Amino acid sequence: MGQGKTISMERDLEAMNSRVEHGRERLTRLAIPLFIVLCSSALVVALFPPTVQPAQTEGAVVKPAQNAVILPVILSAYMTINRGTSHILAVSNISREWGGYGLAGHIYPSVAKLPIIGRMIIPEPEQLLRVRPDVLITHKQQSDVLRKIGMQGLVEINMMPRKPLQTRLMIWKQLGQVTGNGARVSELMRWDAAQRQKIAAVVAAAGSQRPRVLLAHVGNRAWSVPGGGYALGASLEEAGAINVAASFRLSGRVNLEQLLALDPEIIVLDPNVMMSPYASSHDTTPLDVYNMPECQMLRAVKTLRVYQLPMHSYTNESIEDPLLLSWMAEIFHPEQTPHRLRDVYRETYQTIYGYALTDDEIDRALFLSENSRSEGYERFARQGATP
Amino acid sequence: MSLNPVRRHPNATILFLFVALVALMIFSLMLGRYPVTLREIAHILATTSPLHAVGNYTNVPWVVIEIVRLPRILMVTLCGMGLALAGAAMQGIFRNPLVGPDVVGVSQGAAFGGVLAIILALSPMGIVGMAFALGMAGLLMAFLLAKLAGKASTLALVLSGVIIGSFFGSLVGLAQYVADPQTQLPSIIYWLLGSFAGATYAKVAIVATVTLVAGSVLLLLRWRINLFSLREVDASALGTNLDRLRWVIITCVVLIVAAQVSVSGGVGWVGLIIPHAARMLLGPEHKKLLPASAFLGGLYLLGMDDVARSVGNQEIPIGLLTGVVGAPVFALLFWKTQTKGWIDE
Repeated sequence: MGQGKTISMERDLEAMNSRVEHGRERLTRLAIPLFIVLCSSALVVALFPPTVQPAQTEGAVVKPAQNAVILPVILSAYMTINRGTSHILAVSNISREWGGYGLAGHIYPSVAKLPIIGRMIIPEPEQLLRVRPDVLITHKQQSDVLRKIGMQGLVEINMMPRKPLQTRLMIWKQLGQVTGNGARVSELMRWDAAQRQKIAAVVAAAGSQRPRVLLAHVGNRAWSVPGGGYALGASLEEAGAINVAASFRLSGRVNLEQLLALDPEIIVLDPNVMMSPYASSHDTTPLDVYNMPECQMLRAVKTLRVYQLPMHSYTNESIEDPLLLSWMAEIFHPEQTPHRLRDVYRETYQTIYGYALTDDEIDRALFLSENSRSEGYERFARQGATP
Repeated sequence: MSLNPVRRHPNATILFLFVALVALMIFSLMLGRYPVTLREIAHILATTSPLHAVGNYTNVPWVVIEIVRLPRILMVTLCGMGLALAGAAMQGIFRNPLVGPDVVGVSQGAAFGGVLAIILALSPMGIVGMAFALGMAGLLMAFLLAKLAGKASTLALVLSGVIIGSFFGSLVGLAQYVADPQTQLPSIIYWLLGSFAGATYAKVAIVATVTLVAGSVLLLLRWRINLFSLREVDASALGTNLDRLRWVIITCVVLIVAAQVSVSGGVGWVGLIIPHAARMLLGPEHKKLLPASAFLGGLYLLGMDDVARSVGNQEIPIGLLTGVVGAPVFALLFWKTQTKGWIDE
């Protein structure tokens, strides 16, 4: 009897354990419906998403910007067209860094104090909603999220790396519209075209005499050469030279053997570290190149025809390009050009910015001391001075 | 052996993780650079359903909650759940705790697809499509290479994955090298570092579809993953074709990883450390491990993203954060599990 009761109790206990185990099993199975419910809810919301009716048609900037936010690297052009940093609410860190480079950054020192919004060129929607700019300039590829939040005054910049001239023209026109300075942009374009005509006349006078030139960046003894899409490569040709690296499709490093094979008569050093992602920021000057033992075999080094390109900013080519072209023409065809580059610099900055460049500022812009040993560079020195 | 309370009540733990995940999703709506009060959030959530709602740009709190934060939170949660689930499944079938879901070359393939799309200046959805397509191409190449080797074994697939991954890794390097440094390179670097900043509902739809389908399949097969701890002969005796099962699971994992990389770039470590943490909580039994990993993965990645977007003035790429946090956490988990044995045998 007692034994039977014990057996019965054991059975009950087993049954209870089994029920508990079964209950646990059902709970485990519950995990799948929970997972499915979570994913399905997200899917349903995503398939029937909320949308925003913009307060103003996107991209339609009807009046000059009062509080602009600029994310792409076009600040120097904006400052030139807008005559300064007024009406700029904030810029991306990369835009401010590159906007401050060159003489435009020197003339408008306020660029260094512009508030930063966003890292690199990536927009941050909540920050932008917080500051609420009336114009937001961004890259076309980055504007998807901004369009979705109905951001007003969206201006999309389409950078086409293989078409630098077209890109520049389009950007300048867009900035003219944004700042309400369309007339100034037209004036700058006319000025640009007139300067280029003068260079074309010099090149025509030089005839078939075209030196073989290499544009390069040297950092930590490593040579980087820009690829075919780099705008300054085309400028070499425009200034009457043969770009020995014109056939290079890609920007990148070249070794000494390749340099010897290219055999340039003239080497132009561009301090643009953005020319190659692998270029170093430690710039090498012509003086350094002349002292490199491994470079002594190069023709341009033997004849002391290595030059550092004058200071310039980026996406401000309508101002900088004619100056750089004038400089190149004097280097490539010294016999065809008048010795008046310093005056061209003065006139340009006076005309465009209303700024009187000092002799010291011109010396610095032309890297007079860095180029002091290079052949014929004394022509750029101030009158009565030796570089 | 006495079990700790968490292991004694695995189902309650899984339920708790789910509730915690939903709570964190609601809490995450409060975080961000634009100040939105709790009252405003409650009002928005209580009065307007996000389905087909049309808001006005001037109603900034609504835009912030419904258009900026909600898709991001959904996307992060889905990616976290998917990656952790994929990691737990991969570690189960490979019987190796050091295996992550990106071992078969999918992440690298998808990364190259995304980078290529940026260089070709494709639209954001073009980037997603290209990343997904090349992620799948990476898997296909790894499968074919493993078949060519004449062995359909796990080891052959892992080695093929390493080869294909290295190949696509080199292509990513080449693409960075040729990219325009002013316009494309910053986008590429930011994308490769991983970020959910570009979250949209269209991207949520992609991740939700893949996670729903592939994740459900993994969860339904979860008890079968235990069979991988048996010998092949023993598993066959139970009527299970381990080889076929392995490919089904790997395909699901790859779909999840490709979808995640395509929408947010590279986010590492989640699939590696979360299954470890879940194993510490609930033990090695895949029936409990997989759902626990999924909810824990969602919690972890959402927490990381909350930190990434709210800790400083500038958003920190989440791939950096998961890497910086993931490595020491993994080291700690590795040390803890090694003292007991990784599957607590």
